[in-house]
Amino acid sequence: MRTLTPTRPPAVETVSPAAPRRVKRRGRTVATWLLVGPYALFLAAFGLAPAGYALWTSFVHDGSFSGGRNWTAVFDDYRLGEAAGNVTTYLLLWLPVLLLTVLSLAFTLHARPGRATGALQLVYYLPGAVTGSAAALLWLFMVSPDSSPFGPLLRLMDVKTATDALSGGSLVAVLAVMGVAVHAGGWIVVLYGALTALPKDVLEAAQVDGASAWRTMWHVKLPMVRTYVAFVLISSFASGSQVFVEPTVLSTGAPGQISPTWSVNQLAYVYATQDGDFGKAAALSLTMLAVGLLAAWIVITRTRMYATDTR
Amino acid sequence: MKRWRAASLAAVAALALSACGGTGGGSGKSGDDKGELLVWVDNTRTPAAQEYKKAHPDLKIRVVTVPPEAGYVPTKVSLANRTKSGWPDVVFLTNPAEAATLASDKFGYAAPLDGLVPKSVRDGFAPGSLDTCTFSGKTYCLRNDIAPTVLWYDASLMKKYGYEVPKTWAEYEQVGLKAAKKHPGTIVGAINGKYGAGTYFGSSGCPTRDTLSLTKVHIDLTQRTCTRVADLLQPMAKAKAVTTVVPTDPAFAKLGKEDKILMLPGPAWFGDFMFGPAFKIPKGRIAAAPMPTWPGETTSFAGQVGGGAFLVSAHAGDRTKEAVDLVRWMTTDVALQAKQPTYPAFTAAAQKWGEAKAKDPYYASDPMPALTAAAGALRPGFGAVRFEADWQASFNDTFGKTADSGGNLRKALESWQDKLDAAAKTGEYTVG
Amino acid sequence: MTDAMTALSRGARALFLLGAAAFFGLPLLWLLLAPTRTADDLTTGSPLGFGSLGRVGDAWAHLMSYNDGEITLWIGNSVVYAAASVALALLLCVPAGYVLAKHDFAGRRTLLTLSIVTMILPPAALVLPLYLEMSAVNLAGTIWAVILPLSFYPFGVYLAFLHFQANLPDSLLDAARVDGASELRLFWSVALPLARPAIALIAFFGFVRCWTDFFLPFVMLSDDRTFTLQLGLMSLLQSTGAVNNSSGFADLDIHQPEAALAGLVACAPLMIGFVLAQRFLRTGLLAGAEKG
Repeated sequence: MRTLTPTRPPAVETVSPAAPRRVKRRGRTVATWLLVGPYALFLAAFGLAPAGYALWTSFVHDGSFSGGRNWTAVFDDYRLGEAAGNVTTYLLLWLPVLLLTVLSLAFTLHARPGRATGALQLVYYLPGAVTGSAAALLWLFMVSPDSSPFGPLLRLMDVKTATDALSGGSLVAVLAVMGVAVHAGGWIVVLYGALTALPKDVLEAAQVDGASAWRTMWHVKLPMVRTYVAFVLISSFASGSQVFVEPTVLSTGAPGQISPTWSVNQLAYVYATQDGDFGKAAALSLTMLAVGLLAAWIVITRTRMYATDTR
Repeated sequence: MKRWRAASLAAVAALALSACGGTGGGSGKSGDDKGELLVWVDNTRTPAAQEYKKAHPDLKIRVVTVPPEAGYVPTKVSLANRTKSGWPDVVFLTNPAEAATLASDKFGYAAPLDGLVPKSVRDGFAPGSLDTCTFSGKTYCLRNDIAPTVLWYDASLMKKYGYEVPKTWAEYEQVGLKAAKKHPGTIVGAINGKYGAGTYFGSSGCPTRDTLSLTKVHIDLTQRTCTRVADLLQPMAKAKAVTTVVPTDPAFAKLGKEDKILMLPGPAWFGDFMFGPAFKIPKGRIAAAPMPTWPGETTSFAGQVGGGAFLVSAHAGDRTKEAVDLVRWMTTDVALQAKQPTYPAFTAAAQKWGEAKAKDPYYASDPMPALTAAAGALRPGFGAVRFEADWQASFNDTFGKTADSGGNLRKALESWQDKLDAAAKTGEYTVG
Repeated sequence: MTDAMTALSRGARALFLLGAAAFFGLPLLWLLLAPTRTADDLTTGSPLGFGSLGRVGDAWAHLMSYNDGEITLWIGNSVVYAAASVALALLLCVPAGYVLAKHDFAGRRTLLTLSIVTMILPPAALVLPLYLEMSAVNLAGTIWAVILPLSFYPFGVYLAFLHFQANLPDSLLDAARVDGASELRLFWSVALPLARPAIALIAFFGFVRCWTDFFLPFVMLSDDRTFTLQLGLMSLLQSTGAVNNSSGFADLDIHQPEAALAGLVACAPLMIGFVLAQRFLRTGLLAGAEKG
């Protein structure tokens, strides 16, 4: 129990030079837990306990233990397959576009920071600030060719009415574009912040070397903010596979148009709210969690995100 | 040992922190004080509930405005079921289909009202309007307002084009096809979601959601009452005389502005809330006729799209009497109901409500005769189901999509049947 | 590199940034103009038309006509909920992120992993457990039922963790240790001064989360007078049919322009928060640079 080497992949362990931290002192342990303890407590109360209880409810039906009944009921639900298909298509469209948008804009902004940088970041962030019913109004009008500033673009794609935009194959594209507009701004800020915090000397050294802006970005900056990029990837994958807000918002604006169980997370909500079936909601939510965790695990092990060493 | 001490110190610190938070609480009140009548209504019904509260100073009543969001009431009720407290005594549903959820065994929330509301009062509601509230012969809610469908039409356009208002669906089809040919872009109907399914299939009496009990539903789209709708709409969809654009789409305003809406069979509330505000059709043009009749019938049966209902909690205990009294007053008081925005379910109130509507300068002619006839001829069978949302979505997915692409609508009924069966099964119904 | 090429790349860069700005900015521009216009003009007029400033005042008056100006009550509620949760979240996140980044202790990886787990746990799983938890301690329906769960913010811990990991050199800490500084002192006088950008980011994103969160208030609060602005606005806009005409029927004069104004009111604090955070971010980075 008292080993100081945490269970870490050896590859990571070998690069950890942190000799001073190996010296275990009582004062340090107390201080450590004083600083992290309150958070750990909240983690237990509002993260782990509810998650544990959710796991328990997923095995309970009508007040008694029912084995896998909720789980099989969920996987037998004809809506799950459709929803999973929708979400997969959404992720395939949205995630690459989002990552490209975030990375390209953050790096382009950072290549030559100017007076407009702050203002531009604010503009990029704006769509994400509009939420709830107002977002429903906004996006319904944005996809209505007659009243949208994007009207010419929509007509170019043969979208004549909002009903066109929200039905069939165009729906997922609309949702992906909307998702990029809503989520990119926040990540641009995070990534730009990370870039600005990089040590100046390294970047200057690269410039002296005569590396092009592109090379500096690819070979110097990107590796230095890799943990941030990993974080963006994990969070975005999770939030994308649990997409909920965008389809819900659009269906508030145009009720009956979009299936209320378009995405997997929406299906989980329908279980929990309309059906009052918390067992099924928990089973499906935990399945989504497992998918998210698998992705997170892959990203974390590939990027050595947990390493305590400083470069 | 050392770590334990450290951990417990941290725990104590954190506990103190959260305890500080805890003692500051209590600014909100828990909703289940003994004897307090808890009333949940939407914003439109709030002033009336407050009025009732004022008129009964001896009663402790708390009126809460709840969001008319799908799933809000079921969520709160199922959470209350878990903690065995906090149930509202009276609830207004903006979507009466939720009655099927709240009355189910799993929720056990809605109280049967048969013994609490005299039959004479229940008989005062528009015939068939309480079908939505009735499962296995027991009435679980009282309707506040109903949404019978009528044939709305643009009287000026009809006159200009020289058409007669159709009396049968065959005539409706003729006029529609003619208009679409001679005046391209003109539409005579919308087939999307609840509007398409409720208006056409509802009025034809097609069993898409006929509730037999809380656990049994009759769905059979092979019936003549269903195929005749498909046959009617097949040529019209091809000629684009009916549109798959949903009436809430801003694009409908363009249709209205360009004088493309010749006729639009739809619910009563379209008159006040869609033609003017959403479709931007100027006053003096819109009129209402009874729904066209189906072959072999002489009654103009109406479908339904919307309306609201009141429920009383089965947990109201000694407040049940007060709760029922409030619901009775809210739904049947003629003076109160006459003021409300949509068509009252209580027939006497609807008459009074219609007096003002008859004089409304927005309409080309008095819409009340058609509306009254529609309220009196609701097609029986159309029930409240727990898969209402899927009922709509599956209609769009199958019938709507096929109409859009010009496919075979009778075939589309088969796939709609499959989806409805699946939806009903997921909603814990047996399909019979 | 020739001058022409530089100019070209500069032009391309500006074009790219401004094109993106148009994409992200147009929706907001539309929303900003909407309250000045009439509902008719919104559907039939030109997409980015301007009405009159007087309309904005009217629209606000219409919003205030809902339940005797309940919207101001909701704004107040939201401010209180958000301020309390953000303050609490900062108290929890920053020290935790520091320790996780700079101290190696048993349980560190577990904490990090569990944080990820809870960060991406779908909220639908939490409806029932959180509600039961809160009603067990008699807090369901009170403001604490919203504040306490929201102040648990694993995302914020990660931001702090990543920040300290990248920007706080061990050498700095070790130097202070050699000087005999205690571990708490180390956090207070070495780490915290360098944490300003992280604090700004956590405060901002935490604020955004609390301000826009819909699910927790939806589950926890059952009295409209305790509603947050988000929940209240949903209630208001749905019951007046302002967003779509089929959702509610009221005699109130609340239509699309009013809905747009309500939306602007709801997102104004986020924009202000953004500008403030940005300023804090910049000064923080300068301070960091001097020290480093």
